[in-house]
Amino acid sequence: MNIGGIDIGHHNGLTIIADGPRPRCLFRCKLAGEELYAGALAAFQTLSVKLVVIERSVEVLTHGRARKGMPERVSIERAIINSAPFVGHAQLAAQHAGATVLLTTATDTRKVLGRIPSAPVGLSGKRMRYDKWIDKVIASRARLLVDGWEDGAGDNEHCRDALIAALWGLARIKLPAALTATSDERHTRRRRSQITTRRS
Amino acid sequence: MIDPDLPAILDPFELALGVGLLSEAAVESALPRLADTCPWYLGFRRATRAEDEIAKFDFAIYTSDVGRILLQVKSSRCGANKHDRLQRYGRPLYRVHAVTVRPDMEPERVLGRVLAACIRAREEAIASRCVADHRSLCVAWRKEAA
Repeated sequence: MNIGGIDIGHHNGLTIIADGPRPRCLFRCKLAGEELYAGALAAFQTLSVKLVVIERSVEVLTHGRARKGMPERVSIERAIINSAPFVGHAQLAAQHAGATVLLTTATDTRKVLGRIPSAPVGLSGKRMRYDKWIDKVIASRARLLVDGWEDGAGDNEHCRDALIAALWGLARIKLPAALTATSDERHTRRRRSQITTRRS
Repeated sequence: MIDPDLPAILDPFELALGVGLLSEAAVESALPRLADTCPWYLGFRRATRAEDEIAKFDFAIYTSDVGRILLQVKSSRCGANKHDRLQRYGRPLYRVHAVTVRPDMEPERVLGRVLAACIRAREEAIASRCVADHRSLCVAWRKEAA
């Protein structure tokens, strides 16, 4: 079963992995917004993708990522707002290709990488800032989780985030249904004590 | 069992040529599969001998919207990097995209690599509003890289 991951942002990353004893990377590409629908549709149909995980941008992340000042923060937020419709484009492409769509955030998907260590103290004051440090941590781990992730075209942070989203989808479909239920389903499920049984 | 007709030491140059031919064959078998899913795909042809040696491309993919996409098949990333350098700093005739494919790759992965190269080429051409093999794209790419 092939699983696709999309990282939405100013640049959109698209990665497709194949399930197996060790996941294999079949496709990776960085796409601009205008080309996202056509590119994603072609990739999903050609490689017969069954599940697509879309990682949305979260505005909260901008506060940690733009510590230089207000202009940088504003430009990042503006890029995120401009990229909001791309979630719809990606969703539409996946649905047209006949795939199931899951929406997540980076905070959730990064859990597949295991425990990420605490950032060194005083990182923002040093030459390497937090966002560069976390990218380095993720890059060193993500390439170990799949087969066929080589250097070269497509080895960028967008495709890497899309890969992590796809790996999250792969881990999620292997869980029992009870654990993958949405919060609404969890609340409607009755407790064992509430279930009345008939005694003869 | 070792074949007695084979030479004891293979010539590395001939070995590389053989690997290259097998990679090209893998790409050739993957390309027709694009016809089922890509509406812009019209067809492809192999390069002529002159095109292969002078313009340095192996396949020409014809599309309905951005003209033809030229692909150069390489079996190592090192070779692809060399090709990219020549595109940047040499005097290229056309914009040619390099695809790294090894003969031992499974067909799905080869198809993914080729499709990614085509999508990248289309995106570049659409963004700069010209055909995908125009050599001005090499210059634009150099500016972007710098």
